[in-house]
Amino acid sequence: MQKQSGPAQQSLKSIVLGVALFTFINILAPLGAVQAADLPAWDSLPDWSGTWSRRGGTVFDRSTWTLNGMPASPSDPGAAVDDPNTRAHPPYTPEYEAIYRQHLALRDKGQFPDPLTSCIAHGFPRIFNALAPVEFVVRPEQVWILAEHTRATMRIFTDGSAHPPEEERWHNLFGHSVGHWEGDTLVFTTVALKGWRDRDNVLDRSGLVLSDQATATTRIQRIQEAGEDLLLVEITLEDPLALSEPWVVEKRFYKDPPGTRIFDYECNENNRAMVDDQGRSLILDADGNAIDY
Amino acid sequence: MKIKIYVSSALASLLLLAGSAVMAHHSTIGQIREESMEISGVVKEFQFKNPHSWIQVMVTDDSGKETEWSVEWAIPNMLMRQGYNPSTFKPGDEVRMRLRQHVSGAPMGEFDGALKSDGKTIGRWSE
Repeated sequence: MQKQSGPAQQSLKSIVLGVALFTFINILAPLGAVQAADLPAWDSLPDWSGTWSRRGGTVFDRSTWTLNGMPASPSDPGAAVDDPNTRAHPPYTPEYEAIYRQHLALRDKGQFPDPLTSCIAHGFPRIFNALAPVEFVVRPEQVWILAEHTRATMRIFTDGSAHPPEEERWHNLFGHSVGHWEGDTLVFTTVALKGWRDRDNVLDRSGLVLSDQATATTRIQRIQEAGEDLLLVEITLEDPLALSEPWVVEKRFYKDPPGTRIFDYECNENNRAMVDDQGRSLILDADGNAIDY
Repeated sequence: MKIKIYVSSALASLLLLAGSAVMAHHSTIGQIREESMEISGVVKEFQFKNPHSWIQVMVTDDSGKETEWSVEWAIPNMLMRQGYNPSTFKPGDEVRMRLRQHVSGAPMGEFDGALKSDGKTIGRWSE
């Protein structure tokens, strides 16, 4: 038997509709959660499947890579200081140049505490300096960059949403990224980075840092270069405190052989390194005691 | 005690270069000797865990005294992709192992290679 709606039921329906409308207008829409109509079609997106490994070193500034301070390897060699093809020293302001020089000096003595030693994950843009393979997962509403090393995950929203207003931003390792597609090129901007504010976020092993005012515009595209199938990552970093002009860095990733798998990486599983009060990375012996030297 | 220095400093430098590729997690500057040395013992445990793998080896000296050595190897994820796995070293395996020791003289070092009693070699090994 069908129930008749009385005045009370009609009022309840009105309230429910009102709450739904309020939620839509005030909560979901501003968050960009209802932009389905603007999403790119699946078949318009490029195929970046598989795993990719970085071509070249794990640092942005190869000009300061010293053998004693930052040992290289045959597969990952350093570069000559004045090599214009690899030199990427940031156009630092005097204040940040001094900070960086201090870090380099500590690094050369083994006393610059890379946050990685304490198992703090890579952020942006260090994710592009990760040691191990990376996946670029392309979806209409988001692109995920998944690095095995430090389990770093970067999310780029391509659903038409905007960066949060400045006063609402939570500055963290990856900041907040929104982007769009220009043909097969992903273009995204990143804000709300934490930089060197908490002394736990660097751009690479050499101790490069930026401030929490840094922003970036990144372009990722698949290219064919010298017979190689590559993903080219071009990052333009701007920072009113740390940089005197925009700083452009590039990273290239080559596709790993089919079947290459990414494994779990829990850095705290058995971390037998510790940082002492001098910034040295001490090694723990079989009994868990730091080996001094 | 079955410990000997076996390589020239030039070769040691090469090994240092190659070995350091796995040392991204923490700095060992000033802590690890350049020359490689060899120990003979029995594997107690293979810690195939992140961020780096460790091989615990029991070495018995001529007087019968046992010392536990900690030998650090690469990120297990990389080792998996190179064809190694948690069974590469098993408890009880008799091994000769080459490593670069900690400067303090502590029974700790960075792994270069190993020869197991069944003749299988792991890492870099040449007689």
